[in-house]
Amino acid sequence: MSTAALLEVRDLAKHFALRRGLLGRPSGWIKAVDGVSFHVREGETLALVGESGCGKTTTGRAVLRLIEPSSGSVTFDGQELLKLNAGDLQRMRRDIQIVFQDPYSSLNPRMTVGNIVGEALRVHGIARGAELNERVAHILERVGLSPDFRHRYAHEFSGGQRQRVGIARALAMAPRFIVCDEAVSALDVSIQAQVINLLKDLQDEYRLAYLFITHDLNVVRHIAQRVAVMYLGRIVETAGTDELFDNPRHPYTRALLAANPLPDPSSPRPRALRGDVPSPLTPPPGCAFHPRCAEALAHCDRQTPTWIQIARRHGVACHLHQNTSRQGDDEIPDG
Amino acid sequence: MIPTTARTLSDDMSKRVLSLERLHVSFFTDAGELAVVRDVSLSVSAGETLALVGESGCGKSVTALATMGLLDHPGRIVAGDITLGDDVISGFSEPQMRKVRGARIGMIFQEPMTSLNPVFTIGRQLAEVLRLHRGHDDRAARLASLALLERVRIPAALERLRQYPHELSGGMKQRIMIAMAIACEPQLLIADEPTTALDVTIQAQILELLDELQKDLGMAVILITHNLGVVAQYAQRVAVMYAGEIVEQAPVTELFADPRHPYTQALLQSLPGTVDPGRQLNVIQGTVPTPREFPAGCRFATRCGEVLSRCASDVPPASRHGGNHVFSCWQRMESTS
Repeated sequence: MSTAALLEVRDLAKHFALRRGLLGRPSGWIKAVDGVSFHVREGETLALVGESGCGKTTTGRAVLRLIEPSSGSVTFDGQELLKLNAGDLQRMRRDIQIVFQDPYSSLNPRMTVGNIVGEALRVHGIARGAELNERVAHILERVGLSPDFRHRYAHEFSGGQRQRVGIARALAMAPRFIVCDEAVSALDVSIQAQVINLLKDLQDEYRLAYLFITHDLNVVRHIAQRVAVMYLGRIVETAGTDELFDNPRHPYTRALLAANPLPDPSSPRPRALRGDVPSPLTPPPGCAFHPRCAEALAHCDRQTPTWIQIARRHGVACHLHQNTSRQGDDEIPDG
Repeated sequence: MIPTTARTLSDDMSKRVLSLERLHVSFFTDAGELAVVRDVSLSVSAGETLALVGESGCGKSVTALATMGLLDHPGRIVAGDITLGDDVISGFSEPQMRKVRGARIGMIFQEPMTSLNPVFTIGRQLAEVLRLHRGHDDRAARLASLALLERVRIPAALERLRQYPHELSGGMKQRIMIAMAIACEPQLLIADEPTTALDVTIQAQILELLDELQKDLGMAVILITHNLGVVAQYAQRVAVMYAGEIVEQAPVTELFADPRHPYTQALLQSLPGTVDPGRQLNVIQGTVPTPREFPAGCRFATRCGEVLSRCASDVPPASRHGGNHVFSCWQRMESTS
């Protein structure tokens, strides 16, 4: 690795117990996240893409310990987050923030915008009184909102403005890393462009690292330097953004890209991937993608594919690429 | 530059299925009349897909609801005609419209979750449609239901008929909705954001299916969406709405290659992918005005980068650009004439 990663995630897993039976024994497990590894460097955007139920949102929350992971390791700036006690974790959380998808349900309707944005500063005892007001006004201005808005309530604003409030709240603590969980997905095109530009500006200004969770491939191509593709709780491919779009290797990544309608009538019609995403309760054995895979080999339904680094920054978990592994690789695997 | 209405737009009048002529819809609130849809004219022919595209609150769904006779109080059509085949349905009573909906106009919506009744099986809900509109008895309804499920490519159809909506995936539910919508082989299908709640691979399946059914049945389709990728790939013609008005209408290739209206241009330029990754996206400043704030003239005047002095006060007339490309903009009209 060229520079040390700011965030390093190793073998992260989150298994949800299913309806506990007699004597509190779970009747089954949902492996929402099942052994996920990746890293994000300072000032970098890693996109985590996949369809609903693939575990991308759970991954984002487990990284922040908003959901307690079942196992694995998350180090931030060299510190193991999963071993921190409550007090240390809270201090660490100044550096790590999250912006949610739905600007309608993620802002408390009973709080003024000023209180929403300033809450963390107050709770952490960083600012109070006039200084707090001044900082909140400054942050609001930075995200393109009038400082006068701090006396108003979230419901008075449009979706785009609310999302700016959500970003202002995340920015208040001057974090180094932000999880953006479908942060622009609910916004109209013209508003989405404004918010994407804002996130990009803030990243350049503060050297922010983003874990950008989304299903929108067009946004990914614009905003991310690297991409990790998830399917049914696992990362199936990671690569630099251009490499992933130009040279996708996993059949699922290819299918995902082929299904994406491009806003250009002369580009080829989307091709549909057959079947539905299987239930994470009963994931298919072997490679979880094999029932939908057009290129599945005989052993794909029995053996779980191992991670293969096919180029310095390009890794894939697929039996098709079993023999293309690069030797003597110095890069820590991304996936 | 000839002022024009939808009448002059269609290539083949004989295949015309639906036309809206200068439709105005208002909501009558305590605070007064809100003109949410103003002077909308469009038409769609058999076998054709017209995309109605625009951002939230642009009036695309209200236009669709008005077409189906489903406007709720306090909304009302205040002027204009809606013609389906040879019938001016905007003058129809509610009992008359009930016969039109389902039988002659099929509908699918964004949320298959909320459009299906959770306490009845799929079979019972399909059978009800068939009994109501086709007068089928139980046995005939059951056979027709099975045929419909196969038509929308639902595997293990017999088993599905016994299931409840919550037992099916989002994509499956949308297929059921499509089966209900096409049960009576309608002339017109209105699909309001049919894939917005679905994943991209499922979206492709559903749009492929709609395309196939349209070819089989020769339906006219109005595809309401905010997704310009879906528009580019699945529509033949596009009507762009902004703040309750159609600002531009054109064949799909022409609209993407040569947009005339500043709003259409700005919308296309704001898409990720139009500039190199990492560069600033072009943006449209400000936000869509609420109906109470609509300017008297061009409704885009408050956000337009090329606004003229008359724009805020005078409504721009529809102008033609080539064969069947129509737009409403003072600036472009003057610069082209």
